[in-house]
Amino acid sequence: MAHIPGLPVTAVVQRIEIHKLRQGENLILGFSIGGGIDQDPGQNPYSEDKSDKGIYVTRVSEGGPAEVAGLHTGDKIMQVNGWDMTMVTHDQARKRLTKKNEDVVRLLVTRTNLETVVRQSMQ
Amino acid sequence: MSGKPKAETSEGAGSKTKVKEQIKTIVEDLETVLGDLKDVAKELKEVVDQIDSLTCDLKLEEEMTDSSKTDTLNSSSSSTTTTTTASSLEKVKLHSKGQIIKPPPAVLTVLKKPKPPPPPPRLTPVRCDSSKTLPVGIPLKLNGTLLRNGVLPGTQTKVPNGDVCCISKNILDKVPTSPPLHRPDKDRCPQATRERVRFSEKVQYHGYCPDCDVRYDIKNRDVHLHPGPIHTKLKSPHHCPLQPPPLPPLENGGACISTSHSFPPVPPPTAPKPQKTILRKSTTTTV
Repeated sequence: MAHIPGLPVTAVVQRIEIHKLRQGENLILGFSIGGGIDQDPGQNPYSEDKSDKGIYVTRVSEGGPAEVAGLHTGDKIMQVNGWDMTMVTHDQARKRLTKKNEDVVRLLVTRTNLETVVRQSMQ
Repeated sequence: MSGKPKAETSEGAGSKTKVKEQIKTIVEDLETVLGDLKDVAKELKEVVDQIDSLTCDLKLEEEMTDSSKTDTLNSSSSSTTTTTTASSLEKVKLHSKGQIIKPPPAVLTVLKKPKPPPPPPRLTPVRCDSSKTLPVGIPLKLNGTLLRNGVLPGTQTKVPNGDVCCISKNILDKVPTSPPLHRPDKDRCPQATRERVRFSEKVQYHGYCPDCDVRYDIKNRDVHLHPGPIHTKLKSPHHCPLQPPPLPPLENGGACISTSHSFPPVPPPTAPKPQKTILRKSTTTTV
């Protein structure tokens, strides 16, 4: 289902709170992202809609803070600490996640099975 | 009835008929005059419309000095239209009868020009003098108020509407310093864009000034990259080099921190550039 620009986006999201892990001087979250409005969306293996230029989780490090918090590969990040991530460049997304003065990032993520799960549980 | 009226009628009839005839002629004349006036009113309306269309770009400077600044935006304000029409009526010779009838408060219809003319430094020859009396501070305010779409006139972007086009000309007259202010930004950006050689064919989003972000990125990179190749092998198991690159499209051949953006130029000498196998069309960043 391609998103029609200008129309509101609705999704079933899961809240994920990741506490950054300090590694020396770095604060890491333990996952990788791909996508962005400046990237090629056709190469995203996780998106249902191949024109979706959102930010997707491409890899979750084992045992890392993201995995502990419940992030999965293939999740699409909708918001980070209230900042929208559906229409950002790759670099903007990276920045929103790697702010040095923030120890915790609260994400809203969505994945395809979330909605089906919710629907099934409603029945 | 009696003889008197006969006498009267004979006398009065004359005067009466005269009066009646006079009244008749007067009424007829009045009717014709009324009809003519109506025609004149129609013509005037047409003339006003033509004047508006022809003088939309000429008259605006006068309007701005005469009326309040914000009125120029409200194209439907009757006061400005009546002043322009009145002044234009005086100039344009009209063979209309009687006094100058104030046209009904017509809307100043600004026509959209199919091709907005390029903003020349000076368009109107004489009227600039009156406009120069405005202090410079006001046009700077006008920069914010007069252009609705938020585009500063100094940037000389393409202007869609006729009215905005007109206003930008005025401002270019008054604030000649604004374009040079923008040029340093432009000069910086093309330099940065030149360094961004590898880029995806898709949309290139220049949503930010790359200069500020370059430094930020460099710092990040330093922090990320240095511990990357050194520490990860020793300490944290969940860093990249120990993991096989799981994703075919994205990883740069097992780069530990694949901050291998095609994005920022990385000019600094200290930060080593990440692996050269930069896939142009996709990027992964580990955070």
